[in-house]
Amino acid sequence: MSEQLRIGVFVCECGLNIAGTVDCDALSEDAKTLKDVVCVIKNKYTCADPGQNEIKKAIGEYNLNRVVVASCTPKIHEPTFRQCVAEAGLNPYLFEMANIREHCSWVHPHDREKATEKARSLIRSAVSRARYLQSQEEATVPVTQSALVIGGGVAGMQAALEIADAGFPVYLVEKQPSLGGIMAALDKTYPTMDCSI
Amino acid sequence: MTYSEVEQIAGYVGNFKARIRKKARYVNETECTACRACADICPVAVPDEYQQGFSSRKAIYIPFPQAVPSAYVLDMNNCLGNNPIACGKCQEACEKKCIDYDMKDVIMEVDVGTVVVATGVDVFDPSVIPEFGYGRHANVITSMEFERLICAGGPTDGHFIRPSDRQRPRRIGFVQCVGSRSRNGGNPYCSNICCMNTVKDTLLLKEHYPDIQSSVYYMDIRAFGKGFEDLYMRSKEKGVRYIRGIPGRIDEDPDTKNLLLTVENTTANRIEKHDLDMVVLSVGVIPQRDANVVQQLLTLSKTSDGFFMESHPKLKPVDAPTKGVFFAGCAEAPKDVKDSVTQAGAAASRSNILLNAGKVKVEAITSMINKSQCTMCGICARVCPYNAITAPDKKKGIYPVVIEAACTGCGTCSAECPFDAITMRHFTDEQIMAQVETLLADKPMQKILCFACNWCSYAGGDMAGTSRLEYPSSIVLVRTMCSGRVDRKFVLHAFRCGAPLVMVSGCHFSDCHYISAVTWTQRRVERLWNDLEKWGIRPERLQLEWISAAEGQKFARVMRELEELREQVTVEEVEFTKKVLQNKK
Amino acid sequence: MACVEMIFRCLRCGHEFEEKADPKDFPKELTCPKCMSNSVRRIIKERAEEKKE
Repeated sequence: MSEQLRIGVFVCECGLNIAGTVDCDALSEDAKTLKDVVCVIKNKYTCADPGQNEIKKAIGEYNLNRVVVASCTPKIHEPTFRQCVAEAGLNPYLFEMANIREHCSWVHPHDREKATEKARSLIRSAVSRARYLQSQEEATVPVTQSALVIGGGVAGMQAALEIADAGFPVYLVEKQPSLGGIMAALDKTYPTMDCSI
Repeated sequence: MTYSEVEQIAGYVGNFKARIRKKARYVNETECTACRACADICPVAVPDEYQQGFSSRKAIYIPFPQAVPSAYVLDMNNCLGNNPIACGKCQEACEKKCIDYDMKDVIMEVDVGTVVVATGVDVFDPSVIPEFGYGRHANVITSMEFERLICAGGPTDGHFIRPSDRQRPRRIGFVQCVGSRSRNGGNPYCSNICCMNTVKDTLLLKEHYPDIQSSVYYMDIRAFGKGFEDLYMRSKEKGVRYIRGIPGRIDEDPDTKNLLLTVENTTANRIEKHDLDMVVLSVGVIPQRDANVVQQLLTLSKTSDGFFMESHPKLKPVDAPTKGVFFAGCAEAPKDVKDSVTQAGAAASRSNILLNAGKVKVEAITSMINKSQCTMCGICARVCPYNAITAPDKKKGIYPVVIEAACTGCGTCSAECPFDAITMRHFTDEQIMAQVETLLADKPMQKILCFACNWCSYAGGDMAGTSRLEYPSSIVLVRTMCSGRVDRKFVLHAFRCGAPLVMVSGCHFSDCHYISAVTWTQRRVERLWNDLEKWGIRPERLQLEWISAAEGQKFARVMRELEELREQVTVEEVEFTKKVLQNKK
Repeated sequence: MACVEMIFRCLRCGHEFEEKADPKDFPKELTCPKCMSNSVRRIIKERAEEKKE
């Protein structure tokens, strides 16, 4: 890897959700000692606009090429932060999260020392992973604008009609000599007792 | 295209190529005016499938009067001697000259962007349940046969008669759950439609013949839809008897052909015998018999009941796990007309999103084959749940190729590749190994390293967090997209770094987000257990657990259990392990 | 169905149990009836399967 790694770590307090259990100042101090980490910023709410703006500002100021956010689960805010770093010109896949809320502060509320120790491990681990992150491109492939519907019963016909109504050619394939499927063999249908053909 | 079958589908989302066989109809369907001259003269009569065999049709026939296309079809299997020249009467009779005995099947190739699977269901055959006597007793019929007998367009012009003597029956019994909700002689699932279908049938009978006596033998009446309960109540008000109990046997009086039904009335708690003129078996539905052809073509999977498995049971109920493929109707599960139409609309809409965009974003997290290490063994192509890797050909020197649009990034190929020739983007070996090393760098004896899949077990951990369920802080997680990504070398490396306990966790088999990737996780862990034992390492130190996203409770419980196990691991044991694993792969 | 008697051992609680199962159904999700853990190891496999591996 030719480029010099410049990692930014953003520690989120999440109000008291994280800071109430975990010593965020200690986490920040620890992160500063890690190799390749050039900036550490602590926020009350990193996901909020001011927090995101700090990330964007830091990417420009410190010329960051990797961003680690230590906050909640990536299942909530990974898309948020990916978007955020992308807006600052960084490839979204050069971003990594450390889950120190759902997997730490919320589940170890009665042992500040141990919880802080675990959060420290999680951040360090995220930073190690971040070192190896690479840009990824989300490629697009063209879509042929027509559809195949297999089965000409009531469901197949309905689907085919609706796709065709949207203006796309549809190939509806039915193995029997006539459309209709099982419904065509019924007399009336419930609950309205109307004719099925 | 009617009278056609899909023979082959290749490709991936947005770019499917389908080969369709249009079977020879021997009648030009655009020219045919359905004048019936051909059928009138045809000398061959065979049972009419549409009328459930109650009447006959000719070898050249139209399936039913309202058929689409409104054109005749020549059934070559029944045409005289399989040699039309021997007869040729229909061709002579056809004014439009649209009958062509030499017509051949036509193969068509079409390019499509999306596929909707609407293959429907078949109907359960009750003759496998001997105690109901279907096939032996003339007056025991199925609910599908009932439909034809009561239909004005049916073989009896809507006069409801019983098959044995063509007389109108006065006492009719309906037996529910035939072929459904049964562990023996049928299927375990509920067929969804039969309860309401019977309620409907009883009302139809009451409308036609107010004096008719109907009784329904049931386990539970499931009238759960809009307007359903109302219809059920109407049926009861009209005097239909609902008896809770499935008949044990149905006997036939050889002279009158009347039926004697024996049932345990579980409400009254007694065995009852009922004299009936006719019995309708409310048959369930079964997965389409030839649906496996479509299944193989599109690499779909099925749930244990034989219906197609959706991408996600709640959040993606119309998407197939294969991208660009959607389900409509009973192919996915038994459903009634309304639900079929609803799902069809959803499938069309899902499909139109792709068609309308004209392009589709593919996952950035996909696998990549490094030719320099690849030996063309083909394991990757075999384990891929999506068939997204083309099989290599060693003789011809063709390497496997990842079809990126079909790859979903589970990482199973990368973990299973014995030659480390597959890189998983964004979840590379070095990224994961670095995490493992760092997590175990400090006080490894105090740590339990847990690999968790993004969709289920990691989310289960989140759930534990959201629910504030406490568990020991020794647990540290490494996230992968799927447990299928967890390479054995990650596990061994964790032990090498001094982990006292390692856990691999993923989704339950039934909700693996990568179809079957989780089965490879299980196999891999089983192999690791064997190897660890062989090397003198307690296999108990490698734990396996399936935790769903909703199982926060289970997550916390398992973590507490693991902590107890961790406490039993000794420093000597860990040091021994490190030494043993030094040069093991 | 060729069901055979199989022995399973739970690697969480140590519980051992026997069950009839069809080797064709594996791998499948296994759960210890005693502690509900999924760390269940098949310790005696059907012979045919052993040969295959």
